[in-house]
Amino acid sequence: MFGHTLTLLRVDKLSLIFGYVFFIAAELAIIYALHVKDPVQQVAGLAYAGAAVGAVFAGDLISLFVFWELTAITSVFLIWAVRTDRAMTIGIRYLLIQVGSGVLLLTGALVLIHETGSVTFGHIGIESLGGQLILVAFGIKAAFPFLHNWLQDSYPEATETGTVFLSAFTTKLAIYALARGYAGTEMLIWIGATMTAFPVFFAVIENNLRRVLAYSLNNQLGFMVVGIGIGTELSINGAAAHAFAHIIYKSLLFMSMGAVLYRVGTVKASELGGLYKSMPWTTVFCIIGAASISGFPLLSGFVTKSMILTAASDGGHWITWTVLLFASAGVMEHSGIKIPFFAFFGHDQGHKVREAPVNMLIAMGLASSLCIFIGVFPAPLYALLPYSVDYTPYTTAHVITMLQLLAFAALAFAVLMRTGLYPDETPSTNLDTDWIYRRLAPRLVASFGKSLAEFQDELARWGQMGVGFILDRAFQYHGPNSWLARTWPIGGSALCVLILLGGYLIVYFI
Amino acid sequence: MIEAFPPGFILIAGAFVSLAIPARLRGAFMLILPMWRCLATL
Repeated sequence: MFGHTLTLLRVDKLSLIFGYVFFIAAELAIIYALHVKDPVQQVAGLAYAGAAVGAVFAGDLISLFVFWELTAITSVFLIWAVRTDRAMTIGIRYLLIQVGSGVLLLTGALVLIHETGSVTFGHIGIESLGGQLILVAFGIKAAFPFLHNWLQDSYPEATETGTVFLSAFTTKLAIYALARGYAGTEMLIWIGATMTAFPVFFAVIENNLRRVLAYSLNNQLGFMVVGIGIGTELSINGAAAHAFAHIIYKSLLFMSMGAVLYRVGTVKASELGGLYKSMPWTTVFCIIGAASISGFPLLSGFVTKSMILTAASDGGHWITWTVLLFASAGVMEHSGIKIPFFAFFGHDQGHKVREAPVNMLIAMGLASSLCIFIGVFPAPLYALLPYSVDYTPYTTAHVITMLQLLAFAALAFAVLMRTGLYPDETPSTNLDTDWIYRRLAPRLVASFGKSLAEFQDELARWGQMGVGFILDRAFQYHGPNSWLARTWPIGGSALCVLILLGGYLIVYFI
Repeated sequence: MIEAFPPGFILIAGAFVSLAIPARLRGAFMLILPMWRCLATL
């Protein structure tokens, strides 16, 4: 294309590990959605997975852009498939932001191609304008702070099966793209650390449990972004491994909440509780997912997250390491305890429902098995990582540090619950930064428009007055009975001409 | 010849081809065929 060769299939270790996990996620999501007979969801789900896989194996920026946009266009149907006005509005917001990311990617790619003369998608860096634009494009999809709201806005509003697809691909595609293009970019360490910390506060006060998971997803992406920012072999391995494990346990958690939504019709913590009696298998699978994301030993989160923490401490990033440790405790708080506690235990709301459909249970069972398998036998996963691995997760220090952290986080939850200090689960709207563009900006625009209209009216009034004044004066001097309309005598006219000629002669001689 | 196509294309094509499959079999088709062909390319 325009003298450049497009590479639609580039397979190396970095793309392969993301390709494999995308296949696993797609298979799990398809099994989970086997009961769905809606062709819109079925086609959109598989096409979305295909677009994500295509993007991961794209070897050039133009192919990446095409698949990048395809992920946006195909995935929005998983939100629209809810078929409500609210879903339509949210879907349009989601599409606008995702397509905006694609436009930035294309602009950045064209600038970069102009600067470097190469279309290859390799290390980009932030030194050039093209690189900076592409970083913002990736940042939107990776849900960087202040660019993250589309995630919490859209994922909880998709269909119960659609969210499982959504949780797997878009954000992890961005993580892959960051690992490919911006490994070792120090700015990402701080961005990632911020991403791990701020969602914790939102997740704790959020009532919608699928939105809690969306905040938790944001937090987990932060760990991966930190790993990419550190840029060592261990940290890149950690980011890739954590993405792999995260896709599976996050899918599992969204599956369990999807099963609750499917059976009960709500995932609001204030309306749930006591479901362990009627949905025991879903409860067990949810707890496995919650324990995995929290980083319990013998589960997948432990063997991947600890790689990033170790890379941070090895590199002397002590502030980042402390923030990651706080974020780990926060994950335990909102995903490890809050999700299973409020959905399946807590106050029994008396919901008498059936267990989730068999296909949902099979998908959750397979995902749980993978969480346990990776946690107990991490070697096969490590063999897939981009760099050769010399890392032992099960050291005494790692295990004790993590167990202490989890135990104190659980203790904090228990104390806060007993003392009534834990935020109440009540229906509410929590303000996030999307308030700026969803409320403040429209109000400012409306206010500016109103002021502009008033100014325009005033201007028109003054204009009319001015024109009226001119017309009056013109009528006064040029009207039928005006002074200038009089018939002047010849002598008077000759006198005027004489005066003018005299004036001209004086000026000429001067 | 199908191996010449990148795996992403196979999945996207599989998604649209699945529309020609009866609804009750569509899920099974999506589960097996595109994934199998896709993995075969890798």
